[in-house]
Amino acid sequence: MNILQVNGLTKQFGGLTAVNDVTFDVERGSITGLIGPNGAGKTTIFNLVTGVYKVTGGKIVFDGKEIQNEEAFKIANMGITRTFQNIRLFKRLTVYENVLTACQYNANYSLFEAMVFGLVPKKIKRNSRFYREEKLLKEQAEELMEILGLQDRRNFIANNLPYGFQRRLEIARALALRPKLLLLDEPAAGMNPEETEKLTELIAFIRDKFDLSVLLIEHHMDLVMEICDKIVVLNFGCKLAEGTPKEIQQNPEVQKAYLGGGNNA
Amino acid sequence: MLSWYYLKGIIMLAGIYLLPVLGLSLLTGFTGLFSFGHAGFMAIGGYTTAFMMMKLEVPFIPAILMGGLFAAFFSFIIGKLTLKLKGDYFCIATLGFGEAIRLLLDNIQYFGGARGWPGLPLKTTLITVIIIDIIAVILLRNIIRSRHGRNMIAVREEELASSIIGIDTFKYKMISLVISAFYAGVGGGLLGTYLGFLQPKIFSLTRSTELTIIVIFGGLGSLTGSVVGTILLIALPEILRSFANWRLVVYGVIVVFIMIARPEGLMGGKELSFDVLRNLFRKRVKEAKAEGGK
Amino acid sequence: MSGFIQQIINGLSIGSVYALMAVGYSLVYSIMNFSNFAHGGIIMFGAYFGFFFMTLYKFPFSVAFIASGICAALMAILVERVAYKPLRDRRAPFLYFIISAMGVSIFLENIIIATIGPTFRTYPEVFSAQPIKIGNLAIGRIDLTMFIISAVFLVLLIYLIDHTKIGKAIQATSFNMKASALMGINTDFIILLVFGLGGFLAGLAGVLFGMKYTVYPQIGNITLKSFIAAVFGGLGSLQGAVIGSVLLGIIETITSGYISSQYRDLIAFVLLIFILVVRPMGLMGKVTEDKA
Repeated sequence: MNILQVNGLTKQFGGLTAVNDVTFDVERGSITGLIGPNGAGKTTIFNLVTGVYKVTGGKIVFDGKEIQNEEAFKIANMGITRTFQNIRLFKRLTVYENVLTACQYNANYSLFEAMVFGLVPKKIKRNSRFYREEKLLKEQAEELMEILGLQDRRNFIANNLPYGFQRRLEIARALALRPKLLLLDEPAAGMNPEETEKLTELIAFIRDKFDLSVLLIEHHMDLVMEICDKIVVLNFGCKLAEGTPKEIQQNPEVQKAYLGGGNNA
Repeated sequence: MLSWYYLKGIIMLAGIYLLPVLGLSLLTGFTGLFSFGHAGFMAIGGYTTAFMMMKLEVPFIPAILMGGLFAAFFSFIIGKLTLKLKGDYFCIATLGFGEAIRLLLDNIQYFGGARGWPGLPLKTTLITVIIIDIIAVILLRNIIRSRHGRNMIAVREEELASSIIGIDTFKYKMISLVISAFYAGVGGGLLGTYLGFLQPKIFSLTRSTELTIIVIFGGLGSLTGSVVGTILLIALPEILRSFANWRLVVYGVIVVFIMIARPEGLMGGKELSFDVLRNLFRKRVKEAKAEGGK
Repeated sequence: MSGFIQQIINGLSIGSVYALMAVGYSLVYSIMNFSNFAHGGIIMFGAYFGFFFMTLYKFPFSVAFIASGICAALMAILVERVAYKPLRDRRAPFLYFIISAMGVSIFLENIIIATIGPTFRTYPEVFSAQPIKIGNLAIGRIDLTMFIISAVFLVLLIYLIDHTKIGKAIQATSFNMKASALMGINTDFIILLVFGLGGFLAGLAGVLFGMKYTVYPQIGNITLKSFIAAVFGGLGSLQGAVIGSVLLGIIETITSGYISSQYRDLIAFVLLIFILVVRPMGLMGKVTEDKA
């Protein structure tokens, strides 16, 4: 059963075709890699799936529903979320505030309830939905920080975090939505081999722990080959190949695109 | 020289202007939207309140609330038209709106036109202003400390990332705008019934920018900053009358300086609370002890 | 009928000066992506420069005119250095730029009020009030001058942008500043150039307005019209700014001619709302997507 089906996906910017008739699936519970030289259209596909860009042509089916015309926040609420290649945290907020904000998805109390119950004695508000849900959100935020090892840095301003932790925080923030599908855009960029190794473990761990599927853009081939169940290769906006890591490694066309193109893969 | 009567007047004026400032604080400080038209919302609130009381004989408090609601309604329309657009459309639209309201009121003879509308009932009292201010601050604080407030802050910080974690950015910008216009409208209503007259000239573009200056001076993202900023910037010039001509010159310099050197403003995005003061005090004590130990 | 043509001609004259303001604003917007609300202050200073050059120093009109443009250009550059450059350097959020621009605008307006005073001043008479008669039409000499001068400078600007190397560099920078910097374009210089050009034209517009009406500290508020014209034409598009301005000018004069001059200013805002409802990207604007 597939969590995501991309069918004939096309995106044009003016005269430039960034993604051309790309078709692939992500199987439920799998980790799928999306690789290809720079400018192959990988991030554009992420932007299309998450509703950041409007689709020019083709279909995106998530969990049985067509989502290509939905707004970004609705797609997020359906269960797809992501990280960004050029990290986009709430820079001036603390680690805790970043995660807590993202947890908002799990609460339903209204603006009115917040206005009424915000500043009343605990005795009165204890039974309110506002109080219960706020408490729950705070617990969830704590839990997520714990899982991703951010507890010690909870009061750091996001912008001041070391690079690796910024990436972790972005993952934590994404996980707060309890997504069914997580898109990771070059999570290992700028990491050393040791950090990359840790990240590989982390990705596999959160897949199991949160019972989700992962679609991953990455240039670190070790990481991709190690954890991906399936790999989709893009080149110049078109799909070049699709298969298991082994098949991809042996595919002559892929080798040509990577080696012939002079890209350091 | 400083009679109680005079002082009371200044406190009331500051208390009245606190409302639109609080509204702008939510909009600019917490949601990251910039408005040039809040004097326009004040005008709508003021004239609606006056109309309700003078022509329809609605009691004071409901009339003021109607003023707020009417201003909120107008802001909703502007938001509907511009908040989905990129860039500065919202800014320019609020700028145009504020001026258009003023020009329109200049031409409505029913409300006295450019000469103004005298003889409004002097219903605003010091107690009313203080009570409304306290309620306004508490409600705003409650919003900001809730998930709704956090969503607004998220929109301010990084709009794209907000939508990716499921926040309807348009909705939260709209909520912020409508609440801030409501506050401005109520402020306008109180102003009219405090001064006893209304005139379109009161609600000029300069007024709008002054309101924003107070928010910036107090600190973007700080409610207590807005309160302190209002008291300082409304009360000071009233006391230092002779300085009047240079006041706005200095304001302009301060605004640019704050943006360049200390964009967080007076409060640096922090709230003034007893906790903060206590911690500050403890730190001092600790330092003093450490020094003493050496 | 001739009354109608008369209105059109007056509209063209006012509209072309709006265009002079709007292109500068649009240029800055296309490069920096924020509304330079200090533009009005520069226009006001241009008007005062012209006034003092002509009354105090007795410059002939043409010299005072160009000198005012140059002084205004220098001021615009100074504003950029003081109020925007530090923000650019630390990549401050776009909100800070607008706030800083607002601060500059308040400063410029009020420094004039505090030093020179809030009074209205009238330019010395350069062109006789006697209109030029062509058949039934009477064209004011000032109106004609405004139109010709604005048209000449607008054509020069558009030629500069479309047909010179430096113009290409400006276009490239507005398209993608980062990439242009990588391609070896000195984007800092381009930004200064754009502020300088915009300031120069703003200064000229200030003198023309001062001459037609009077000079006073709030004359810069007239830029609101050029903002509206720029939105009308499509934010960031030069041709759009020109077309929007001219149309706005014509609509205004027709309104004051046939309805009432009291509604002349109001019609601009009605137009603004109308555009936002019907075609928010403006006449020449394109729908763009942010790069994520």
